[in-house]
Amino acid sequence: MLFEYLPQGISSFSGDIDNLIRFIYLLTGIFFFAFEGFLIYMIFRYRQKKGVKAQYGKGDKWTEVQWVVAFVAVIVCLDFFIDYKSTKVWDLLKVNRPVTDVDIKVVAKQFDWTFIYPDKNGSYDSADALSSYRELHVPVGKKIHVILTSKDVIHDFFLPEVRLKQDVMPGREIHAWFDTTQVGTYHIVCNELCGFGHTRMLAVLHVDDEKTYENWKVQLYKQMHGGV
Amino acid sequence: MSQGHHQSFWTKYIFSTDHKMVARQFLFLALGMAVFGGFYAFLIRWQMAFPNQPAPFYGAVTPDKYNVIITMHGTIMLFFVGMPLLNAFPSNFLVPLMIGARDMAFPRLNMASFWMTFVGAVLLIGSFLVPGGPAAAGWTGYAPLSASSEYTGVKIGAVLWLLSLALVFISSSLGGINYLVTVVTMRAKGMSYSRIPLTIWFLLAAAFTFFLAAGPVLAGAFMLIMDNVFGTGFFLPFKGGEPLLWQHLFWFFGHPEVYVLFFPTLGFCLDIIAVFARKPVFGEKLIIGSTIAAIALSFVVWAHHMFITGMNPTLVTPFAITTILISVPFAIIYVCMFMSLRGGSIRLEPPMIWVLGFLATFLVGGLTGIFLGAAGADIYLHATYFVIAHFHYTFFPSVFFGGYAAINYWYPKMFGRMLNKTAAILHFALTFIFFNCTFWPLFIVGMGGMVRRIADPSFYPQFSIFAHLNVFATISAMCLIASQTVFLWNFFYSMKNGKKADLNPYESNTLEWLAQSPPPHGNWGPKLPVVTGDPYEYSKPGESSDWKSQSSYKGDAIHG
Repeated sequence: MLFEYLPQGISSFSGDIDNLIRFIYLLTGIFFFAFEGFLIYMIFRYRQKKGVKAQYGKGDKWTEVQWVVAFVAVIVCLDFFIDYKSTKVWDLLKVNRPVTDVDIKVVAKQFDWTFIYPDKNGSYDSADALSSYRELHVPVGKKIHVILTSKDVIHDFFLPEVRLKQDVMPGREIHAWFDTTQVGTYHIVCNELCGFGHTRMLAVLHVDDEKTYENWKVQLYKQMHGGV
Repeated sequence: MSQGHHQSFWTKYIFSTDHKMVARQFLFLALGMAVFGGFYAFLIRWQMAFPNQPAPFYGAVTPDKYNVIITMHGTIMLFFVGMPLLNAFPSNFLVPLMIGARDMAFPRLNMASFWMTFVGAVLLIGSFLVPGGPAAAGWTGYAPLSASSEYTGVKIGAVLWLLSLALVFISSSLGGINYLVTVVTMRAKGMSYSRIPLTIWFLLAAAFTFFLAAGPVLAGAFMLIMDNVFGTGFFLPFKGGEPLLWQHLFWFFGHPEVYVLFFPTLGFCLDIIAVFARKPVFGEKLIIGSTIAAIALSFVVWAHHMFITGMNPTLVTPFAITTILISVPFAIIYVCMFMSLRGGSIRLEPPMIWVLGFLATFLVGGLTGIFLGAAGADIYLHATYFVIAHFHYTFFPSVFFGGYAAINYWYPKMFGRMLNKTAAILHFALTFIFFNCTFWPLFIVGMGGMVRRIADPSFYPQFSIFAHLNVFATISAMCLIASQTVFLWNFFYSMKNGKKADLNPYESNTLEWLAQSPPPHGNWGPKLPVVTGDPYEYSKPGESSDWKSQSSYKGDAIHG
């Protein structure tokens, strides 16, 4: 039920994130039913009855608290197990950036996205660098390196289907990476309140096959240079 | 002491130094501000379910207004409803009564603390009248958006918002000093530290935590005011500043603040469970130890709000570990509460029902925090409606279930009359059902990728698949707000017409039940109570009665 509307994942790591969330869902679900069940049981079992006095016990003896200690030991183990699984996913996506195939600079400002593709020499400032407004095209299966920067306030680069989220800070360049596994058109959302136009700060992610991607770049180049 | 002397209207009701009157002032301020906070909640939900249709009593919720509304909803609910209702009101009312003192250590400081909060509230509401409108950068006020009017068009409003927060921070710190000094220096004879009820312990824990946390954010608030007014650049990168600094200062305060709004409820719950299950609190030492651990941990988890800000990603893992470890002390406290119920003789009176409702709902808030504390999962869930659902499942039970439990429990002592029991139970049932119906669907919506703080969901066709859930949540929220009228009617009607309350209607051990209802100025007769026992001696084997008051003080002696 919780996952009824979870967008379909389209990156090599989206499954890892989803599985982590499902794992935590399973664990917390068990605790949820155990505690709620216990609570309801006690409300019925120990309701006030005529002539029955409550049991006196302060929980200050070892025999009383040993179950609490055992329970805590279980919780600590589960906590570290969750940490372990979570850190694996985190490191994969945010710490250890693999060798990437395509570099793209993402420039955010109130309330627009611009995606800049470097020229042959890797420069984002030259006349040959391609600049795409609100449309991010990436080749399918390739590892994409994005360099995120903002011209004014904090924005956030959220690709729900890719399961990538990264704040975009003014005054610094943040590096992130992602990849894709299937062609299609997906969403890009600003996920940090950035002013009155925040709600309109959207863009589109086009995952193209290699040929479409190259054609699009040629077309964009022609547009930018008056059809030369 | 000067009990019984003549007081003018002004000194009795307005500039009062009597702790019980100050407590009432805070309570009424919280209830009044909750009307604003609730109305903004209604507007937020309306816009999410019926985008761009004029909201009843308001009109169109345009994006600029929407940003103001979410900012005000958060600020009001946390600082002008939560803190007065859970910290200032019960601390003022209960600290002197439960430790056997006549008033606070610093009664005038107490009065000042209320009026500072009141001025803060006036500044906040007044900011609707200034040019540019009120602050619109979210209740977290992230810089640079909040640091310069060129980004939002708001200048005076942002400064008023910051001044208002600064006043609340100072007021709450002054209040905290007062509660701490009162408990340390003014306990009745025989009230050793081990005999202080847990309500007082937890109110002190909250005051102490607030103390430690408030300094940095107060400094941050003044830096932000200077950025706005004098053109400094503490948080503006183009002037050499660092926007993340604000987030560090804010969340260093922000996470402990969550516990400031949670500890008092734990205290009420433990005291109420003991009284209505007729049992001693299970594992009192474990609970106090866990609370100290939770306070310590709460100061080293703040960056879990900032996992995806671009802070050093290797630093994220230690913060994720401390965050998830927070589950340990609170699991211990939860288990101790459950064990306090086990083997009890549970009386299902309204205060106890609120506590049981709190236990059932807060659990969801606690468990869903694990999703967000796990950094790997937070990559997807951060700032979605999943977060909204999670923290409303913590704040709402804590502030409202806990607050209503306290009001229901201590109402007879405050006003000398009983609340109508049928209305109280009806109010609980409606609140419990509609609260869950409002926020449960938002977990699903958030998992579906709906992001928070968007003013107009009609720009997002991908969200239309769960539009029915948003409509359901909104209608439930409207019912939830409407249900609170049952409480308001009961609260005000019973004040004049309720059944007269006995001195100790619940057969409770703690000292406040020995005072008159309501207690007179000075609380006690010519002699103060002398404490001879522990607060939780219920159903002791060998005793004829299932309770034993902490003192043999006779309240009747004060007549005349």
